[in-house]
Amino acid sequence: MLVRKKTALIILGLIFAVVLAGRLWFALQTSDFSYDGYYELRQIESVRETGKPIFQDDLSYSGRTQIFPPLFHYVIAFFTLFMPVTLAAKIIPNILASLTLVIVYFITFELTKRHGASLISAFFSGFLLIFFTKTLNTVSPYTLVIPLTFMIAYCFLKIKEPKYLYAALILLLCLVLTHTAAFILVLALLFFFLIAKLESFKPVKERVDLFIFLTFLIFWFNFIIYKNAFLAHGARVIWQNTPQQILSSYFSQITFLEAVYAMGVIPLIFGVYAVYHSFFENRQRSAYLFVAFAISVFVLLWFKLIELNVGLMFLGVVLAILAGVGMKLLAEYFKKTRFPKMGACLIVVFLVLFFMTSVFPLLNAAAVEIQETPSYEEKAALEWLNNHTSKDAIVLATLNEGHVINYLGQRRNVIDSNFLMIPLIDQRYEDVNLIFRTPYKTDALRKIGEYGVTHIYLSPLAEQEYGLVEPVYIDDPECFSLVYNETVRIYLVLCGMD
Amino acid sequence: MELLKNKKVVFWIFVVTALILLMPVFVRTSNNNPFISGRETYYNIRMAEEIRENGIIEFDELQERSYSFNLFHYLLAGLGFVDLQIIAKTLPFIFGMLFFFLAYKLLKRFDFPKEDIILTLFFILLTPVFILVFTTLTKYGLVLLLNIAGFYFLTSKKQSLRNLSILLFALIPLVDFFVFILVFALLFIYVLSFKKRARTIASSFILSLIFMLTAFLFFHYRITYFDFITNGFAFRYFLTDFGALIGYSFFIFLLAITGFSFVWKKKKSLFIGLVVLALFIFSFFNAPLRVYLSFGFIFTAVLAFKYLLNKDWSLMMVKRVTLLLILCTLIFSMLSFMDRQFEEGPSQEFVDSLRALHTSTQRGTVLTHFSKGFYVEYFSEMPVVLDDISNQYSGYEALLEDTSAIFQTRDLELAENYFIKNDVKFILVDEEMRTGLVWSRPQQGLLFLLENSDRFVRLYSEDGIDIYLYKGVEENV
Repeated sequence: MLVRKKTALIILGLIFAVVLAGRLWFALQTSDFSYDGYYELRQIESVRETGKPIFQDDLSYSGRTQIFPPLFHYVIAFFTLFMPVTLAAKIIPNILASLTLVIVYFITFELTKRHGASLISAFFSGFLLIFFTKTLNTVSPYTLVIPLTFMIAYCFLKIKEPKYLYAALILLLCLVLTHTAAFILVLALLFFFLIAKLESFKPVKERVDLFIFLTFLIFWFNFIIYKNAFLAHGARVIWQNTPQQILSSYFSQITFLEAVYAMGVIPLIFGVYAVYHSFFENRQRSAYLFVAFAISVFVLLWFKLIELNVGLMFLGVVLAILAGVGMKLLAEYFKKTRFPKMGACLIVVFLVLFFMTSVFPLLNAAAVEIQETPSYEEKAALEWLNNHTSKDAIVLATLNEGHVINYLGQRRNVIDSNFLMIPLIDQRYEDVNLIFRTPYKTDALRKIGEYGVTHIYLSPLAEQEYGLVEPVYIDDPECFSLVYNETVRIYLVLCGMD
Repeated sequence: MELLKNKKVVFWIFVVTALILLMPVFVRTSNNNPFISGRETYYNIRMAEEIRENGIIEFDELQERSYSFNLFHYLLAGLGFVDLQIIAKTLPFIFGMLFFFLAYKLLKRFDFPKEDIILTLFFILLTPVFILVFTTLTKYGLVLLLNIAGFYFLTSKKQSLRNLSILLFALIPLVDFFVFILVFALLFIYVLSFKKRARTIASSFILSLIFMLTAFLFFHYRITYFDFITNGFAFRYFLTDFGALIGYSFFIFLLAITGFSFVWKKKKSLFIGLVVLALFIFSFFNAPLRVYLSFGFIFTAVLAFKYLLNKDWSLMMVKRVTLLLILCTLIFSMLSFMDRQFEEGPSQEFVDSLRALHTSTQRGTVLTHFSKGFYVEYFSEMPVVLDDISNQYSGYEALLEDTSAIFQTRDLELAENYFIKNDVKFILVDEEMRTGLVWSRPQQGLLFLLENSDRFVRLYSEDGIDIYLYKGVEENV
């Protein structure tokens, strides 16, 4: 399948436009964001208003220290100079995420020297189900992390040219300032050098230099940022101090088949084929880097060091790249047979299959994902909280609703999904669950008193999560007063155990 | 790098070392905390004071338990012309500077290149164990000094100095028995590798046995248990960057592994590899081994650093920035450790509370967390239920279990039985105990009883530190 450069670039532009348009079409259908997206939104607004993110947060966990590298928030905040915050938070992450396919195109071209195969990879990555849906409406820093990581990988491939070495150094700085996921790159390069050792080839000097620089840069930077967290949590920092109960349920959320589906069946088949070929047939060294990426993500997932969704996103992009290599190999194989046109036909068949197994389910999944936002009724309740409760009120809601309590309700929460620097997080997580689940008023009141809870926020999400309409003990009017009674119910706590 | 060949660098490293070793005392004093840090410090001072007062002791009168002879305590007591608080502040510094000087002389003796000497000294300075051992009054300061001095004299050409090394090595078991095993194992390897000084080392070994026997017969010398930590395996117990006190710096460790791979390339000895690995794993559970391995890691870390220094880099800029990053990580890691040393107990507020307890007319045992035991014993002159060395005495497991249960109980009868059995009169609770060390919630377990039962009277309450008096059963009848 020979495609000329100019045509390829036009097609690439079209794929980019289609993917971006698709993303924006979904994202702009609602003015709201996913529950976790509101945390990022708060940070971006803080950067816009004060010039710095919220490191001392009075609302989250009723007051805590936030630790994170803030580049992503600054990037989005920069664009809020030209458009409203909510619009920038919708558009910019989606543009960044769509750029991934352009990078994938160039990487695959570097590996295959075929525009056709590169376009297929770009197409696969553009419609990668897990990446598309999980970065659609979440204002996720991964929309910057993933393009940056693969841009560095591209520079790594072309590192013999000094300009790419310089570019890699700058991109590395940006990556470490964006997210701790930069560690994936360190591990991937480590595995790359291990494979190089096993395959007995000497790595290019510049690559070794970059690896050494990268390793120390990332360790040093994260040491500076997370020093207090290390002292507070020890090695649990690696797991972001996530409660044990959540950690142990990381893989129970998804089956193996669902994971395959999320990355795409066709990219997986061709990706695996390319890996096999790279190792046992043509020994294509540059492809080893992406094999190393896949291994590192597997290792990190195995030890639950990254969230499953994040691991699948990285793995999906890697498979899309390798699938391009696999496609090229397939086409070349058929060229050597008596059916030279067969390869192109098969590729078309596989593309159709990709449409059926990835693109159509993606549209469906995106439509579902976009509804995973606070409903009108929830927003009304949160607005009520904002207008009718004291500024010092502490609102107990489910873990997933913590950020919306802070952003839309403007009130303090008891728990949310940022666990770092929170002492005794397992205890707190259990206590919150206990308050929602226990039938005993005394137990609930003791915990409510410990966290200084003034209001209990009972939403359909809480009902769904805890499988009950409301806690059994809450109908005691002496202790709990129903102050807001719509789809969401808000109770004022009147008594305590102290 | 030209800097590493400059003669003045060594001088400046010595100056910086002196400043760093003195810094904890200065910083703590300027923070209105005149007390030297470290739990062991206060146990050592207390025992030395006891020896000064009573001569040779066989029994710890305060804790009512047997006392095992320790040369370090007698040395402290022997410096009778100086106040022990002053000794606690100055002796670690003197030991540290002597150790550093002897390390320098040894490196020179073994004809290490100038840049290796400077780098090794620099890495020693950045090692958390070096900072810890030579800024607190701990027995490891003395054993390390005896060890390095012994080795320096052992490798001397003069017979008289070699004879001195016999004495120095032989004194080590009188300070720490495990270190004695470790040191003689190392000396044995030295003899096997270099095929010399076997007679000196054998003499030293025999002399150490004679010393031990003498101390056993006349000074109540007992071989104490290896100090296994009871908390199990966790990074925070052996990596200082994760919170360990006696542990490895993560970044030196990282460089050390890299350096070890170079050694491995040159000499692929499975035996050495396995021994190092076994020692490393064993060190997770043994503090003296971590002390020694920390210094061992320095040599391979220097190899790795030299490799990076002399490597043919593709861009000079990358080389400079990478080396700068490495230096920054090492220095920041060390500064972070020192910062913790500045904040380490006892605080002025804690000492105030213990002095208030000291003035109490009533006497009795104090119940608190074992990590505060040595401070309580020293400042309040009252015994505690558990302290850091309780694990060396019989009945420890049961006592620890009972104490943990009592901390968590709301059963007054159960608590009173325990108090009567262990003669507990006071309960000391501080903020650290309330926020994770013992309890995690207000009014949890014993805290509830302390607040709500009339059997307890709050004697002291300031800066988050509370001392309760247990009135006893009779007084309530």
